[in-house]
Amino acid sequence: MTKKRSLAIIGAVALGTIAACSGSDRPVTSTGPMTITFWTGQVDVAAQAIQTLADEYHAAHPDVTIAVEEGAVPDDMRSKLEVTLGTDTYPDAAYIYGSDAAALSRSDKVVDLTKDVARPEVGWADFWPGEREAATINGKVIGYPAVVGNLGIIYNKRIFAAAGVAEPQPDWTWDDFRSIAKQLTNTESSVFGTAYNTSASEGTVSTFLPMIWQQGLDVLAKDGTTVGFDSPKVAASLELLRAMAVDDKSVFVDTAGDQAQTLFINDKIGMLVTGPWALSDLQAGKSEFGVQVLPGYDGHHDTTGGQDLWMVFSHGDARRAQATSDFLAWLTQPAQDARWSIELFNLPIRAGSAQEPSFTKTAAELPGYQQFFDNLSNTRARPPIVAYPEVSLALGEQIAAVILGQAQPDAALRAAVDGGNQALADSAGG
Amino acid sequence: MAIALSPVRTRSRLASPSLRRTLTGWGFIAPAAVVIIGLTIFPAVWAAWLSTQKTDFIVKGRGVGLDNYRTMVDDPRVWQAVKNTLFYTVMFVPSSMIFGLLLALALNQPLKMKGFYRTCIFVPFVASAAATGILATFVFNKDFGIANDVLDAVGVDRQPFFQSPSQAMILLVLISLWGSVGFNVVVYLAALQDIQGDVIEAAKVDGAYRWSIFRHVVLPSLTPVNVFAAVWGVVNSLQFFDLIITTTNGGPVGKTNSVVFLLFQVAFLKAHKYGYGAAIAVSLAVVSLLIALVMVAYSKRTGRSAF
Repeated sequence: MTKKRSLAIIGAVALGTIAACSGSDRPVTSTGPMTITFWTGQVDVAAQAIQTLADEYHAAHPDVTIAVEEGAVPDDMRSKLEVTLGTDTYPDAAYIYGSDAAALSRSDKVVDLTKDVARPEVGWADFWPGEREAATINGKVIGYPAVVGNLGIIYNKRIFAAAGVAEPQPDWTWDDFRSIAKQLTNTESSVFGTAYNTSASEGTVSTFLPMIWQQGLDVLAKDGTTVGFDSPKVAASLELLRAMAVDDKSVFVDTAGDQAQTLFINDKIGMLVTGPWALSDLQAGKSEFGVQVLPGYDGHHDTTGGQDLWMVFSHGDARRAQATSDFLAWLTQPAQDARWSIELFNLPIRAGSAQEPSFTKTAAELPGYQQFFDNLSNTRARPPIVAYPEVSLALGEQIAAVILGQAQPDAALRAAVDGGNQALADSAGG
Repeated sequence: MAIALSPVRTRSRLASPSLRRTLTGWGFIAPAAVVIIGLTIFPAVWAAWLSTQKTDFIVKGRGVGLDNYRTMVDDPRVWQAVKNTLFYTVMFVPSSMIFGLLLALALNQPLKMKGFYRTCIFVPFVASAAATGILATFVFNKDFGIANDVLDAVGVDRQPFFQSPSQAMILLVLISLWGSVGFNVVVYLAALQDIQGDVIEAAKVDGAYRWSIFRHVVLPSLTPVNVFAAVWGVVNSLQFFDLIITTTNGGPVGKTNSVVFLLFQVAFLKAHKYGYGAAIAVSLAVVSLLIALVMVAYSKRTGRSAF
């Protein structure tokens, strides 16, 4: 065979492969029944709850079938959408972390819901302010609130009793936190006052952000081009954590960020910074616990919130996008939210849901639920900017270094500020 | 069945017997060729193109030429990851070969329950690295792990393990060894059993002692396997990732961040800079290829062909 002919055959095979890898165009439904693909990021009971609600919606709206799929685990949803938005395999709606919304909102497939949520039947003002803030990027509403949470302190009543320490009060400070953690620590029985996630992931940062906010500072400076935490106050907060971990040895260092909760259930950790999602596991583990707001500075007890969204993606068919938006508007009404959020032990996504009977029932049955609900008034949102994950990484690595005794607070803060500013400058450059 | 019954007519339709032979050949390799082109060559070419882009796929990317590669050269994270990966490779490859050979030699002796020991050594290789990693975080937990209890019992100071920047990577090497030495054992065992008994007999007749037999008969005949194990070990070490994500996430203070974990961080975990991630991936692939080529060329030149 000639060389030329071999090349032609290789070329043909290659083209065939490429053709096989790229999909074909899906016909657009503009009349008649339609199917909406819904990537919920949920599994098990949560997925089942959504499926039940979707089936009910279909029964009431026979033209609209909701295909409920996991899509991806929420951690990977942004990546999955990034690679599918360029093809025709992306969903009509998906579950998005609030911190990923800013980046995704740049896509021309994202549907602007500003007019939709202004309809009186949606009751936009009934959603918590932090959620509305997280769903609004550059003045445009790009999602319906899906799940809301916040961080508080869950404390182990058995350990407090054994150490003879009074349980924390709502007006407690970070110095109180340090001193209580020290009193709870017992090296002989391997009991730690508290735990810190040093995996440099978002879990490392989200427990530190409140210390920034409570001192009147912010993640970003006013003009948004530099970080806003370049302050001796923040260095002092890092020093407090360093002293607790290195000097007092009252902090269990959770290197992979996944062991603290189990140790809390086994009565080895006195205080855990976590959210309402942990409550049902702790209850199932027969833990005896109480919930308190985070320690504060100057009477401020701001905390980090998780504001996750349902986002809508256009397939070039206005009717389909509208149907998706209508479904989500229905799903986020108090009656449905009572079954989606509250019955799964999540906090209600809107004030109206708290009037539902299931709220009273959950609050009565699940210790700590009411306290996390009340803590919503302290809840802040991460800045809705594209560079946030990188700013967070720069900060997270330095927090971890300080707690591991590998960096001094001042130098660590310097490095975090430089890294954050670099990320902001990079993203400004496009 | 017409073709089978009338070979003359068939021959007249196809231009020449040589073309038919060629097409038959292509017919045989076509399925494999499609798989290789579709799943290896096409993605590789695409990754190379992607490495010249600045994109997160959400908005249309733009070509930046070799900027991603220039950024890489100035990025301290990249150099730290390179240093970490080289450290891992230098620690892991020789020790996995030495331990693999020693265990294979032991298992090649006439032993009772040989099959049982062989299975025991190979089982960790079958377990997924993710499971191994999760298990390791429990065993080597500084405060609650069984490893420190054992150290306590024998009167050695408790160790920080994964929390220590100087110990974390060494620990990962040890866990990797536990998980993958079984593979080298199997390879060496097969090679040892390939050595002709009469060669060793002849050496014995010539008065060689055990060490001399090992040094001058066994070891030289293992050379092709050594080259294979070294190339395999190096290529795998350069791609070190799975244990990291289940144990240290690259920490503490970046001391276990490998090149592939950095790539994952840059492209998927935090920054979503796919172009930059692709540039790191392409560079790693080129370096791996060069190392493998040099090792294979060396083995060919010295007449110790392994591939």
